[in-house]
Amino acid sequence: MNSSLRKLQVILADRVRLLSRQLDDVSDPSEARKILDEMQEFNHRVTLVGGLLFRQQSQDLDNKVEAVRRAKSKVDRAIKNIADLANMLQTISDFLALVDEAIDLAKTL
Amino acid sequence: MKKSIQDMRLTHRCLRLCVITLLLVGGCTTAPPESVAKFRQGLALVNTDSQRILLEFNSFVRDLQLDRAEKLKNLKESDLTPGLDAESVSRWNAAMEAMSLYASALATLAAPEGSTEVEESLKSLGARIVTLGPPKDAASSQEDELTQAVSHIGELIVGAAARRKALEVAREADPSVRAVLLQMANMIGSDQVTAGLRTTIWSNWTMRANEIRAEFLEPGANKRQVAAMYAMAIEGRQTSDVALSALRRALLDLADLHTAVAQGRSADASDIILSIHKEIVYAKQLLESARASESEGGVQ
Repeated sequence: MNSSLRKLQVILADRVRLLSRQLDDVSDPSEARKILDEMQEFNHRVTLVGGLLFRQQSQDLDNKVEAVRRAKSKVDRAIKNIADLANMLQTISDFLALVDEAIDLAKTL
Repeated sequence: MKKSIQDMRLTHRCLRLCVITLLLVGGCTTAPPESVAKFRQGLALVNTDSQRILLEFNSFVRDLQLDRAEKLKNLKESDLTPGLDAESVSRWNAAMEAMSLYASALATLAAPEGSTEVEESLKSLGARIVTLGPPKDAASSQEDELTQAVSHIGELIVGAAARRKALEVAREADPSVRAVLLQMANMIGSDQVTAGLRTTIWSNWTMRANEIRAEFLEPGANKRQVAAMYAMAIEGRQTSDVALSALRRALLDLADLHTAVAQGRSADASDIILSIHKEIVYAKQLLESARASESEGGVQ
């Protein structure tokens, strides 16, 4: 779908450019107006097709963004885990204190 | 003497704590917090710029649709369809928002010292170790220093672990982040001829320029004034294209910046963010100068 819209927009935009070049050789105002009218219709369609293409691409973008949203959830979980690590350090310090007390006790035996 | 033994015990406890946790966090590469912060900063720049460009795009397209409407026999909805519909623009903005939220969370993870939850856990760590050590009456200024030192070690350990985790998440997310940014760059278009926003805006400006040029042929036309207005329209076309091209370049640079973060490279980050900043500022200046010339020249 994207590929067809791309090709179509390229064809229409080429036509606008071609008509613009034709205008280079025109000196009659009525002939210029005719070319302008034709160019206006092609340009209108360039815009319409461009809008449709952007719409299609934005849907693809939406799908791709889902993976970034999942990554964000992972980061949130990691932040929680880091807070847990700080808590774990406390647990280790508690444990080491107990070990020291046990060593002290052993020395008195 | 007793106090000295207790201080030594605390010191030993700190050292053991260090050894254990350093083994946990290892000497691995970590995500440089400054690079993550720059990625976040770059996203904010691009986000603001892209919203402005999309709004201007629709406004310009509408102007030309009205020129065309003046010649129509009847008016249909399709004659005034917005260049970019609201739903598509909203998807673009939602993508930017999702990227900003991700970058913000990654920045918190890469610099966890700023996180309230982590900070609170760390605050009590040093005091807790000391509480388990000598009794209060044996407390001294040395003890306070030790408490601070333990807390600082905790911060270093947690910081290192967090940056390592940030790197891991960024590495895993890098293909997805790149896919989103490359898709956005693709939507802008690589040039004015191969489809995309740049092709649409180029075509519309060509139309506008030719409308002016045709006035040159009308009897009694002020040819000098028409020629000046035509020149301004040509410049306007170039300016709009450069602005879109700069936005595209910035999106591609952001993708590279994220990859640098994911690979733990901080050296590239400063260059990339500077480049993004220059691109956005340049595009903005061009558009502002074009707008100023347009209002002075009275291009309709």
